[in-house]
Amino acid sequence: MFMKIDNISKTYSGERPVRALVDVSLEMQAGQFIAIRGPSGCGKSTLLLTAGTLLAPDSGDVSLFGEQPYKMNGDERAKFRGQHLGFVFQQFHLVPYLSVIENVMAPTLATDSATQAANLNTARVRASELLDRFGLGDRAHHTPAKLSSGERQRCALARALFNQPKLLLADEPTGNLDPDNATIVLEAMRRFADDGGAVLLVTHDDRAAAFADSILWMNQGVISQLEPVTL
Amino acid sequence: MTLSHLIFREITYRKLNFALSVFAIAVAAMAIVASDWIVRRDAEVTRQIMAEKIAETEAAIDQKVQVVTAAGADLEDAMRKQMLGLGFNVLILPENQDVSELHLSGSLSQTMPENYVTRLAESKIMTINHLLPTVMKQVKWPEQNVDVVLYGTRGEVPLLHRGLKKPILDAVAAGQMVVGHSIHQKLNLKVDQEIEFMGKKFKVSKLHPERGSLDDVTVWIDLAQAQELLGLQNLVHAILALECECAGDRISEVRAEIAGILPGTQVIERYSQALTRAEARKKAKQVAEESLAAEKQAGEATLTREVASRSQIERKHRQLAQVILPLVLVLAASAVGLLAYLNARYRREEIGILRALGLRTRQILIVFLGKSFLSGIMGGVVGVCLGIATGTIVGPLLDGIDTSIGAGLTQQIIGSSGFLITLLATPLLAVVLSMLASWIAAATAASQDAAVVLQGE
Repeated sequence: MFMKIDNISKTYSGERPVRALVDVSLEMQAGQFIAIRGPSGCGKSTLLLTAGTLLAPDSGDVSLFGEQPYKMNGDERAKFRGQHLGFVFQQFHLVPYLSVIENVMAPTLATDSATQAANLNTARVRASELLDRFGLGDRAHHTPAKLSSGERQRCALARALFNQPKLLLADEPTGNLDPDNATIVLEAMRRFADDGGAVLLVTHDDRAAAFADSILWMNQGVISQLEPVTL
Repeated sequence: MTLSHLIFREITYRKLNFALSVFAIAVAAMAIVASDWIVRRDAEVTRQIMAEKIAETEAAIDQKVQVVTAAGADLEDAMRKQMLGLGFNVLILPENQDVSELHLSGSLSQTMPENYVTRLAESKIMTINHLLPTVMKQVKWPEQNVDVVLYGTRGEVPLLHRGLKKPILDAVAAGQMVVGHSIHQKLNLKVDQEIEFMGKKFKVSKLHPERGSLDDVTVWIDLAQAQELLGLQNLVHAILALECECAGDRISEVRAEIAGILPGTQVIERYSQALTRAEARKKAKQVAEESLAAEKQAGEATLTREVASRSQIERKHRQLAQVILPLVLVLAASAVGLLAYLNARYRREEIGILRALGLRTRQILIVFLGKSFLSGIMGGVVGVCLGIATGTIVGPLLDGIDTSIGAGLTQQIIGSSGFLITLLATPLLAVVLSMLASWIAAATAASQDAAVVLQGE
């Protein structure tokens, strides 16, 4: 079992508290690609971030690869996240002052300085391979500002895959992309799942959902339906 | 990729933010170094000014001392010369001696015991200096048929309670004769010439030059021989003395003092013009001494004024530094803190994704504080250079000391161990200041909830 979410709830406090997740449970296996869909504010992103160890639930348990990240301290959880998870966001979140290849290599920053220095060449080779794979080999030394949206998202995807994570978490990764680039990104994610990883994708895009094995529908913080994708 | 690489890339990307941080830190470091420079410069300038003033004062005093010494020497020399020329100016005579006899013939007829001179010498007498027992009588030089004044002297008798002084009249050895000018001219005498006087053999030991006084018709021989020739064994006609160099009319004091020691004697003063001249010399010496004292006093007053003036300047500069320095440090720290905060705000998204990539709190802190460290060290070094330049330029403007006094100050200040410590400590202090000022922003960034950022975006 890659992921087991058991009855988690999350409420955002404020003048008008928002119940983002209500007793949500979900399981994922290796090779599984799940697309989460639903109206805006239904809790899709909250579920993704909670699964990604970035947002602790108010109640319930989250188990990833047999471990419970929310029972770890912050630094242990960060290390765990860096080792096992990859993230792709709609806004790319590339570091603006790093070149494309440096952005891809950014996950090495999470390792200790000795490891960073020792694995510098290996990391560079790995990053170059990913860039070539995503058609960015000739853009390696450009900054994100000089890339198109599609290129930026491919760069972000390469970064997410750099550490060879087991679980890829993607929040609207195709939201800002043209159809061609969206297809490239989704195919890459599909391939990742096919190669034994797991993908949890938040999307509004029907085409994106079509790459998934199943679609998890959410409404008002509750999983309303989990249906297999039929082509 | 390493964290240092990330830091350098961010610095080159947001140059203005970094440059402003460096500038703020540099201003703070400059203020520290310039303040220290100015305070040390003040001390060094004071030291140089005081050294110059002390040297000037000492030179002036030395000059005055030389004048006083010369005046004293002149006085002593003049006294000696005058006394040599004019003879002793105090005569102690038997009480019954008619003084007119002396004035008329240069001769004396009354006697007193020779041991009177011993009594005087052993007394604590203060008003006279040199004692010369003598017999003096106008006699006929029978072998030459010439009238002469015979002077018998045994040399000066030292006053026991005084230090030995060089005699103003040398003793005449037994068998020798000193001859006055008129006599040796008239008799065509030569030094070392053997002569006979009143049946006794003498050798001419010295011929006096013309003095225009009774000395010109006087011959001097040993006292004992004179006493024998005159039949006055153990008796003397007079004791010649030199009145002390004290100014003013003191003869009455001399008389009173001698009367107490040698009753039955009288004291007369001769050659009062010598005293007048001595008095003038004395006055000159006194004026010189007063001038010396005034010079010392003026020198001390000048030094005191200069010390007070410099102290005031130094105090003013220190007070200025005490006000400006904390203000500059607070402003610089605030500026650095604000810049760090803005930097952290700009980088929320970046921090969020770095957290998502697995960077730990400590690593996020390193990203921010590493930058602060660099801005601190750069600002510190730049500030030290600017501080030296500012101190060099502003220092003279503040105290108005011209460059001739200030010359070499730079090397002396830089060479001082205290300033060296400031130079070394300032960049470290700048680093601490920069990191402390950035700490809140860094800690805020490190504790930032990645989920909030990534969700918000």
